[in-house]
Amino acid sequence: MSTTAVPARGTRFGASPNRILGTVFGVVYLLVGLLGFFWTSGVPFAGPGNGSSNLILGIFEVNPLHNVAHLLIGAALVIAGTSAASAAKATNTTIGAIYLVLGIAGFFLAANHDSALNFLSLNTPDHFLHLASAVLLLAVGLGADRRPAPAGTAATA
Amino acid sequence: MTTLIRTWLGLAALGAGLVHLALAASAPPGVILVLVVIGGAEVVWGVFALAGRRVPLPRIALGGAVVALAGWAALLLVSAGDMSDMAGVRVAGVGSGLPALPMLGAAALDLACAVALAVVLRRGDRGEAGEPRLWSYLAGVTAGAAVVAGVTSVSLGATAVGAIGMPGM
Repeated sequence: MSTTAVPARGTRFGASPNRILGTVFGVVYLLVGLLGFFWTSGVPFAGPGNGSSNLILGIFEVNPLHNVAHLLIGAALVIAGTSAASAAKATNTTIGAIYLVLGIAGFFLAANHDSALNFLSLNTPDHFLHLASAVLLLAVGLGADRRPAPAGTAATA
Repeated sequence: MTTLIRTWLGLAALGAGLVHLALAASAPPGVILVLVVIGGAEVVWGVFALAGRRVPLPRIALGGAVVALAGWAALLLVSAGDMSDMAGVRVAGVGSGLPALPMLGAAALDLACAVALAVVLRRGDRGEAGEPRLWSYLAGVTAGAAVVAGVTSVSLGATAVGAIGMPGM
């Protein structure tokens, strides 16, 4: 009996929800990471900014470390998204989980913006965006590009 | 049940759980534990619903959603009546200590879960037949995530900690 693994559905870029979503999100985060440096002159590398001049689009607060984090996350998503469905699925799930934790923790940090714990210079719109990213990345990461269901059970995305 | 409906259920539970957990951060002492247990259960159930091939424990989940809804409704009624003391908790204080908008947001998400679960149980969960089309799936998940993130964000913004972070939202 052959033990050759059957390629899971969705390993091709155009057929994998995780690869498509990861690549799109990755490109967006790379752009946000690059553009963020236009709003962080005079802002400390790590730590809360003044909350007025370091706002991307006048809404989302950043500092240089936050921009670097966006660049790393964007790079990870793009690299995984352009490599394989399994890598994209793992990366989307991991980054989604991290954003979920960050989003939850953020609402407790929001009470004290100037705390040293706020080393990424996060404000409440950041937390909302992180939550939305977390929800979408987790939903697709956990739910799509799964191994085929065992014989006798129904298949899913 | 389709993959998309199960995904939406998972997202709604996740959103309701996040709101309940955020409410716990500033809730009166008598209800902190209740909110943490409900919120934690919703988050865990939501993750399993997203990751699984079937909705986990549908009957228990339906019961939990109904209990959460009924509990809040009862709390509102009791606090409206300004009853003084119940099991050592100032009920009026509890009712007024929970902001209405976040509770309404979480209740709306719980209600959506309860209705969908009731329909699934009535029809019988026969698993998911076939795979959804790629772009329909992505569009459906994105739309569901946008709705849940919208309801959750507005609800979280109306909690005490959210209001501190973003006055006026």
